Amino acid sequence: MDEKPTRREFLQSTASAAVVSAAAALPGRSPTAKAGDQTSTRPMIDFDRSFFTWTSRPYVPDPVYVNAGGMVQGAGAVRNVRILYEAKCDITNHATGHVEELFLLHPCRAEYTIPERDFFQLPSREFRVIFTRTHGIPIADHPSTESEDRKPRLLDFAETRFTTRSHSRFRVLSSAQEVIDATLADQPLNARTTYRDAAAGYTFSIEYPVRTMNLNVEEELFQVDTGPLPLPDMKSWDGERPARAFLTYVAFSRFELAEFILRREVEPSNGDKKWLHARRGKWRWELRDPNHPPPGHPPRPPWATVYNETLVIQTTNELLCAEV
Amino acid sequence: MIDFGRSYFTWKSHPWQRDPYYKYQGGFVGRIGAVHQVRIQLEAACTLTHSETGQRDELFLLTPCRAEYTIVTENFFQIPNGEFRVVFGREHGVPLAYKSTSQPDQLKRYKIAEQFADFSMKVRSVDGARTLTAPQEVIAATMADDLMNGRTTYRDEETGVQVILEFPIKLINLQQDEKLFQVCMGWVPLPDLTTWDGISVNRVFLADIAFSGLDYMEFLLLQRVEVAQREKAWMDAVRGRDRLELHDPNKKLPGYPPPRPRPLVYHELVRQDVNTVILAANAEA
Repeated sequence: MDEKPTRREFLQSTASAAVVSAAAALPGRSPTAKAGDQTSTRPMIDFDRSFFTWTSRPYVPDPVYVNAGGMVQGAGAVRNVRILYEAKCDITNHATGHVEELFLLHPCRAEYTIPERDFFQLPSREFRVIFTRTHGIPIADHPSTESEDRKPRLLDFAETRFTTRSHSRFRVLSSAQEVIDATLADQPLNARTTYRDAAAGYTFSIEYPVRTMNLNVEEELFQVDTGPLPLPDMKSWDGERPARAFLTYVAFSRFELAEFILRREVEPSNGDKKWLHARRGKWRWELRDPNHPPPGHPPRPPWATVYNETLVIQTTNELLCAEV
Repeated sequence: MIDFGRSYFTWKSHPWQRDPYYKYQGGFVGRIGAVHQVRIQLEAACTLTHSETGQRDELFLLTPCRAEYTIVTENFFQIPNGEFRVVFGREHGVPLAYKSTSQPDQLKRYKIAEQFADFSMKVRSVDGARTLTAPQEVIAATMADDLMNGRTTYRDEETGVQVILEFPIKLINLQQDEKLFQVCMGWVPLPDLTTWDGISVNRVFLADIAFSGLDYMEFLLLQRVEVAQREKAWMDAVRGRDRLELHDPNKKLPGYPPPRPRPLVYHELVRQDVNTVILAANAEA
């Protein structure tokens, strides 16, 4: 059984206390925004109009697997893949000033590209990535209390393009009442959740669209529950980038604390594995030479995922409202 | 062309009343009489039209969140945790079926007006949308980082119902030299037309889609999966409030306790001949 990790456990490697301007914050009022604040130092990302696009190198058939990468067009084919942003996390190193940008992209199912039919790889697995401008950051399969043998992977594309669009007019919401008014006016909202650890020398700031908002107008209450977003595992941070990040949803009802719920793998029952892991159509792991399988062949079929572990972190939560 | 990123469904609850059984029915943690409003972004649309009677029902899949307690200052998420996701229309709410198409169930749609004190739908459109008719146009719009939606139509011969799905294209593959494209993404609401009763359907499947031509589409459906016995110890363990806690442990509903949440997996493949058009618009406009 998982024990509920605390903020202290989450920060145990840094052995530091949170340094958040919470003392100045009052419930229902943003600690960073002033009434009438019309600007912010950073633009508000327009997530539903922002894309990452990569161009592959010419495809070289894999020496071991017939259907490596799901590619069916043969040697020399070049692919472009464009994916919508889902959320973004900036990690700043206080000492060096280095900022690593983590882009969580929308998922799809593992597929064969580009046939006329029989698109999906079955058994089905998720294709979802977190890219920085130079690396892929592994998404954790395990709880934060368990380490994984994962590390960032250098991107190997012929070309990449990050098209980050911003809302041309936006404002920072400074009170619960402003959040309520903007929500009921059907204005697009983003949240920016920031955690600063002075002792460990970093700040991470996650920006994401608020897709679900709860309100109690009479009592001037709001509650965000949205995701997914990338939460970096700062225990594995090397001063530039983390070795893994968690896929999370976030909930908060005030401006100085956020609760994250983390995704992890879960093993299906033996009975359900029979249909879930049954091969249909082309098999992703078909060998060119069945007599010479590589070590570990075939990889374990994909498991399911659930959200279970929660982390409560003393953050600063900004809410941004676009004028449309 | 629907601007999904700027479109919302908002409902207003009736004043909260004490549930006769559950302490935290609906995850609500507030005072009796409190009124909640919830705004959720639209994810995809499905319009059902009967070709003879003209009966039409417009449904929207809303974006998901995690099961939560509202409105609280700590212990936000319900543990064990499930997904909260709904299909709402201008008139009906239609349950999502997380089982295979061959497994019937007792799901029934319901009138939104009976569930909520009030509700509104803000469906914004993208200005200047154009229809793309050739792969080269799809490739050009993709590389220009234009906003793109798919609009897929098919007709069910047995019921005479025409289905129109509209969805934002979140992921697209291209092979420019071969003039090929392939969309692969989620999610869309796939109506179970075997439950059509002349008004609408009684259940909807949640699906990812893939297509590389405008006349054929594959849907991969989500369904529940049971977990291994050894996983249940941590997965079913309650932390914080228990969503299934009763006011009176001696006063239980029939069938109590209901099953705890189980994960969802993609498994069943549905093939469909369709007519898809791709809409595009300048995202800078």
